[in-house]
Amino acid sequence: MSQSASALTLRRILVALDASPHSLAALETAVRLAVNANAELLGLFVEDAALLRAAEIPLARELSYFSAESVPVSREGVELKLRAQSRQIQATLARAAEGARIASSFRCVRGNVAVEISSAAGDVDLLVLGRTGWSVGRRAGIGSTALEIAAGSVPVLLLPERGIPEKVHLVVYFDASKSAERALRAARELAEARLGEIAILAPSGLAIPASLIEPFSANGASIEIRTRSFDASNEASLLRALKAERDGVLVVGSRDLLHNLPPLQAILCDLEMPVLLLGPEPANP
Amino acid sequence: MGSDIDQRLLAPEKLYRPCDITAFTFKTTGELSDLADTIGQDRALEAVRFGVGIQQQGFNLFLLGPAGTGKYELARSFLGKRAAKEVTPDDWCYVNNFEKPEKPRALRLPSGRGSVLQEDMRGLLENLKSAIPSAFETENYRARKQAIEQEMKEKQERAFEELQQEASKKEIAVIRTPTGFVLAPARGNQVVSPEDFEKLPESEHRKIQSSISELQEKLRKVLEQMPRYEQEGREKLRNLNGEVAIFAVGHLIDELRKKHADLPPVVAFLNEAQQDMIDNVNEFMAPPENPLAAMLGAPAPLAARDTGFLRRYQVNLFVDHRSNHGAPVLYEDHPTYQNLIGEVQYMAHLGALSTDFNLIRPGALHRANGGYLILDAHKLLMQPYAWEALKRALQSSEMRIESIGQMLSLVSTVSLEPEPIPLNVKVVLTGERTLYYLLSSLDLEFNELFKVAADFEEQMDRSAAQDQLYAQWIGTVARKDGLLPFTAGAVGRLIEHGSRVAGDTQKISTHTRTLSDLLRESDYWAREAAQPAVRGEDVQRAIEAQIHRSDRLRRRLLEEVLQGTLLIDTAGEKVGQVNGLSVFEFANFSFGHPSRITARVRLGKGDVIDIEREVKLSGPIHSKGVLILSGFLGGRYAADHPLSLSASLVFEQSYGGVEGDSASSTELYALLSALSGLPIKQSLAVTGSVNQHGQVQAIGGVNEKIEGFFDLCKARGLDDQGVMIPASNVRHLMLRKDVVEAARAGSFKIYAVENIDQGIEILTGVPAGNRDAAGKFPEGTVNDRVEKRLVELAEKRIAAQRAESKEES
Repeated sequence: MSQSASALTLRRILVALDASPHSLAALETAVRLAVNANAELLGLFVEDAALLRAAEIPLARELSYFSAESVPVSREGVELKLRAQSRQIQATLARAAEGARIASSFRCVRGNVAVEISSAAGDVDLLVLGRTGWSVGRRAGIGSTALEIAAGSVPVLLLPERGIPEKVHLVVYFDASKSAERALRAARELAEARLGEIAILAPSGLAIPASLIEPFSANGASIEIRTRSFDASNEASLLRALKAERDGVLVVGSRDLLHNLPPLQAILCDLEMPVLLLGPEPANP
Repeated sequence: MGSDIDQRLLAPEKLYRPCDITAFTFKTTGELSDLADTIGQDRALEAVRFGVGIQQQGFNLFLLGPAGTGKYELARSFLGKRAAKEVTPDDWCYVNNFEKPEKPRALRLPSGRGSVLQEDMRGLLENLKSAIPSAFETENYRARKQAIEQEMKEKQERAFEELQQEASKKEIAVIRTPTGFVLAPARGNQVVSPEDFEKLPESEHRKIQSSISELQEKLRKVLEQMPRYEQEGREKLRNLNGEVAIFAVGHLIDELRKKHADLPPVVAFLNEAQQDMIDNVNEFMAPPENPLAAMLGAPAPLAARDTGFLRRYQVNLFVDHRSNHGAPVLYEDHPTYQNLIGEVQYMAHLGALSTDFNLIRPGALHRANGGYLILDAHKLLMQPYAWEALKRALQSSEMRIESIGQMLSLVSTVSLEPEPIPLNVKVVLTGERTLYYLLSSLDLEFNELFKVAADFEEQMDRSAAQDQLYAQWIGTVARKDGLLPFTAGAVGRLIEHGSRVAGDTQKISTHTRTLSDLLRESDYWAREAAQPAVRGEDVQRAIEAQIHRSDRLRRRLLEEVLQGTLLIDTAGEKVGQVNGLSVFEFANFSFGHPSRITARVRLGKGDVIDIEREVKLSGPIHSKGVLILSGFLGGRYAADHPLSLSASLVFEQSYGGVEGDSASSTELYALLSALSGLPIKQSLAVTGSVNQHGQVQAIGGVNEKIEGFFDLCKARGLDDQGVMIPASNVRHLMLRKDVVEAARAGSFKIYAVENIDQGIEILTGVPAGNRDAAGKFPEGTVNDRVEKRLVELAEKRIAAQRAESKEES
């Protein structure tokens, strides 16, 4: 990969949607990114096959959110509700895209949620997942679903419940690895587009090469950059550093780096910090 | 006889009373000091002084008198001077009633403190707009808020997690649906397919059924707990917000509490405002951003400062006396109901009308509270419900703001009921006398509320001392209006004109408005003539110009007479024909004009027929005058035989109606001439009323009448003409200079008579004649001729009646 190659080119952004408030937060973020990058926005709604299957079982009953009453459930009834939800999402996406003047399309598929999202993400530059996209309501297992979905090469933006605030900075986990360098480049590109600032989380004593920092002020760019150190031998220290930067988006260069970080569950749920997973580096042309 | 007539002739000195300007010690009014009060209204001034001084309920004033006599000016000037020495009343503010917003509270503050409080609250709100959001943006607050949210979230998730774990153990999948959760049997992470489920043995079905039922019950409990957790979280958050809000608001309001500690109601308001701010602290913060909503085209939510929420903490400075010194003296030029008692205004917002205490507007009563309110009674009575509202406020001594609709119970819409404000105002009404008398007799409450009447004079006595005062008044007006000073000659001419306007040589008009106008017009002519001061001739020119502008009709009538269209003789003699004199009044201008009055007699039953009355062209006073003539004739000439004439009297060429009895002597002269057969001199014109005893009585407009006949004679060439007036009118003579000159030259004579005998002698040149010891009038006298003629008529009538009786028998 050449040094000048773009670390994150956004032409098509896929957002997985349902009708929950979290999903709307994801849509909002996706629209904003699409506007900034002048990218096309693709909406995806997955009708959960497991749910349809469950509805066919004679013993299955549905417990309503609102009344906590147990009512019989049928496949037809669930399909009807899913169709209504799909139409609602489609209309919301269309109006949001029209308001933001971006190109958009919508697709509704049926199957395993993770599989369908991964499949749809095959030809996009970024996948945006709201909380319901990476979690089915269980604390346990958070991250595994996300990782499952994002196993491919597509960068994934994992959003916490609150989405991303309007003004946000980028937080790069930097350990001098190639992946970390790539994360820093991607952050710079995003920052250039958004004129935001960047915070680099680096282990104490680790010097960041000047060659990586210089581009931040090249060509008249004036991206503010600052460094926050942590004690690499102490996980709590990293957690504290992340906590201090939790208003930003954590940019992680590779899935591998996740092993060095606190669990995604803690970052997404406890810190409510969005995470941008860049995925594996593409091979040189 | 001739000497008798000469005695009736008035000397030129009697025709005009000049002002003795040699008594003036000044050259121009510029040398005179200002007059403190108006002129000639001592009695009214005394009444005003009394009415204003007495501090009891109901002692409000009514200044009555003709328009233009300076009622308003006197009230304004007197009250202005008095009010300046009085205490400046308190300010009033309306503030929100946080418990009952529909009943705004009135706050009373010392003069000048209302605006301070208003500014304080404005400043406080400005501070709070930033202080409150800042307090809620601190790391400390955010950490505590997140801790609360986290706690709530963890409680919820823990409950789900436990359920989830139990479900996993029992191989039951918990799956989200768009509206809730479905529990279904699972193997590993996969939901069992319906086909596989069917293959399971019955016992397994029962086991699954049991597990699902158990889990459903637990899930139901979990779901039921959710709102409780949220409620707990909200409660904790509210407490936290309250704590932070007190921290943000408390110290700022403390400063105001200390500043206004001497005013407990203000402190109470601040306490309530603080509590309300704490309860509604979210309103001070910018709403959370919702870009998606904007993308979807939804209107962006407005911050409190934009939605007007903060209006509830504002102070409506209702009555502000900060720049006043002393009690207010207010004149309400347009005393409508709303202008008088104030109103609650409304503003349109998104097509609906809304209001709050900030839109309560004061009326004149509020602004004049603690001082004086001057109102024009006529204007007040012309405004629907204004009079009733004023009376109600004065009776109850408080001002209650309610719309006309509310007052009449026409609307039942919920509106504001501002707390009434105590009223302590002295109301001064000005108006015509008629209005005062009408109110006094028709409105029972009027006399209770307006106990002091100040009656304004239209004229004042004329004396050297008063002349000096008049000069001072002229000087005062001249200075105030920026006019040139008036010379002694001009003042003298103005005084003479004032006498003429008053129609009395012993009086001067106090109609300040018309006199002020004359001063201004005189100033105009003096400036036209490039004079440094207004001279007597400038005043004269102004008077003549005023007349010239108004006398079109007078000239037209004169022309008609000169052209012979209207028949008036000014020479020769005629039997039964006399020149009478009438006064025409149009707006502010009146003039005299001669009319031909004729009488015809014949045998009859003693009727004097007034043709004007027969055709309903005469008013009641005129008709009364004519009927008196029968009384006179009967009493004097037919005491012992029936009055057997039938006489008809007519105002020739009169088509517009006649009123007044000033022509009754003239009609009698015409009648006496017709009865006696003696001709009347047409060179004379006559005015004066007569009673049953033949005494000639005073009439009005004597100057205009004389001048009216003089103008005609002058136009035809003066030749020993004249006018006969009642002797009691001599004191009213302020004739034009040319009339006086003609009298002095002997070409125009003015006679003053006391009775009919004196008058008939002048008109016929024949002695009237007095009864001798035998009760007979001297032979050939007027009375003798009249009596004989009446006796003759009576005899003829008796003879005729006898003949008729014989024929009948």
